[in-house]
Amino acid sequence: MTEECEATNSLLIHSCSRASLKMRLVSLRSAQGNFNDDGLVLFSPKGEEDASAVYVWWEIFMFILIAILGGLVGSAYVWVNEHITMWRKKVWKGKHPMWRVFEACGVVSLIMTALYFLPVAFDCVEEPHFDDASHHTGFHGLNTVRYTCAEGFYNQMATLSLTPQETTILQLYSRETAGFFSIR
Amino acid sequence: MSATRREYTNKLILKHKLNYIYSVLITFTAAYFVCAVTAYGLAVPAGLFIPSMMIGASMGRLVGELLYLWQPDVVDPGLYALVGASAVLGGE
Repeated sequence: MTEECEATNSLLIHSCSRASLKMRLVSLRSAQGNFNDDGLVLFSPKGEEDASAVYVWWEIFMFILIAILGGLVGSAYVWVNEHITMWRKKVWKGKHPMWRVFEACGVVSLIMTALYFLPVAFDCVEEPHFDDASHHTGFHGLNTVRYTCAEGFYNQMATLSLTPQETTILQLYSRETAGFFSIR
Repeated sequence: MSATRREYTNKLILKHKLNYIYSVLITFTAAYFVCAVTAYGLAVPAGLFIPSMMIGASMGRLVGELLYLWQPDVVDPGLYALVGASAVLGGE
């Protein structure tokens, strides 16, 4: 029991430190060009020419918070995967391999059905119309999905769950689109 | 952020501010976590990298959106999504 606890603590510390380091590297990389004369990263109020690469001082604490949360979520993800895989091995041991195919078909159908009908629980939101066509990285970069909504409206959940994974990640990363996948 | 876009965003947030019952991002993160965990290990080719990025990005974006309610002039949730994705990848 003690050994298990020690191993878990070690894993958590390891995960958090790695996550913090990665987060810090990303921040530094994003902040390129914002170094002051002393070679330190400059954290200054936004509103300058390239506001996306400038941070305020307290944001670093939020980044650390996300790094800790993300590290724990990542560890939990691996831990759950490991246990499910071991359970699967026990269940399918000695059975015909065809059962694995049936399992794959069943689980994939279930997941696809759930993800397809999940957006039903969410309301339609009016699509914004911006006159400033110069902002290519803003909402213009998003690939909205109407789902069952009328013309000029879109479903936020469908926009996330019914688009290819890479597109969804890009949409989550998109700048200047605060509020579009928000509290509803 | 342009004035037009900020006006729209503020309008959108104010419109839904009282309706705190559920959130698109919380539901999406939880649902995607469960789906990814269930699907991994099936007898089909699948990986952990992109699902991890998805979970982390949506989690980070959620934190960013919450912070945006507090500091709309400073916070850009897209950046927080990037940090979240790298954090979850680091945790694996």
